[in-house]
Amino acid sequence: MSSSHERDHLLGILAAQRAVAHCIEDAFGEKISAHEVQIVPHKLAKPRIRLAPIGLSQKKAARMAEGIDFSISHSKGLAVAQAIRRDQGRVGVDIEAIRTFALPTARAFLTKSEYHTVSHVPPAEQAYLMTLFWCMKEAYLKACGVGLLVHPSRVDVLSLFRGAPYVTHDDKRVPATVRWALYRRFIITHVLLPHG
Amino acid sequence: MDKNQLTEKAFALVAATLKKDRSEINPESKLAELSEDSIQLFELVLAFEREFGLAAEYEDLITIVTVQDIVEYLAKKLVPTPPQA
Repeated sequence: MSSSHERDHLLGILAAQRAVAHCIEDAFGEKISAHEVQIVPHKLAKPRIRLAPIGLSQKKAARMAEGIDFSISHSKGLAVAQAIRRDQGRVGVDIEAIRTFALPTARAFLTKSEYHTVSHVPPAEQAYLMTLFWCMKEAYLKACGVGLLVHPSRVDVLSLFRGAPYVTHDDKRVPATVRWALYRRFIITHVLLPHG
Repeated sequence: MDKNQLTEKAFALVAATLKKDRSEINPESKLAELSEDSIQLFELVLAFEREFGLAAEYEDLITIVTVQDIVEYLAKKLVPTPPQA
């Protein structure tokens, strides 16, 4: 692993440990340290949580871990993580530096309608919009627990972008909400899928 | 194309797509770790689809872990097996 990749990976783990520890305190009233939260990675899909809190039974720790949903993302020296109670839904986050895309890449990950939208904004805004669409898709797929195991062109996020509370996944509407923010030259997205 | 040519072509494609020096890549290198981010990993999969005519195989390609794994995958798909005697 390159040193910058390793640094970003560690930042992501640290952010997730803190987010999960905070969430457990809110959800279960148990104060645990971030270092008692173990993040078990998965190559592309959602990582898992293992808890080793001092003074609690393994059964209770496992129940608390199962009660939390979380997501991590990192990019170029920044990391974001969010944890929520599983009964509040499923969450996915993504952070990407705003970048340009080669035409074949854009055509591959955008749906036809997304591509049409992007191609009608001024060139200066295209990089922003394409990066935002990528971030929304990746955050949504992370919330689903599959990440890039599912081709991002199977998900259309135009509705989310326009404020409607759903995405279109394999031509079916899936309830979802999104928030996004700009931080320096980065876009951060958060997608929430309702519980159930 | 034989397996040696395939290996050389795969290494060259990984290096070119991920903007790495060929010497930074070895058979055990993990594609997700060589990639700067998820977009670059996606671009690498697209490059393999395009270069080797594997357009319908995204879901196989995205799960491949190492450079050696991708060579083995390509060899299975593209190198003709000699007829059984």
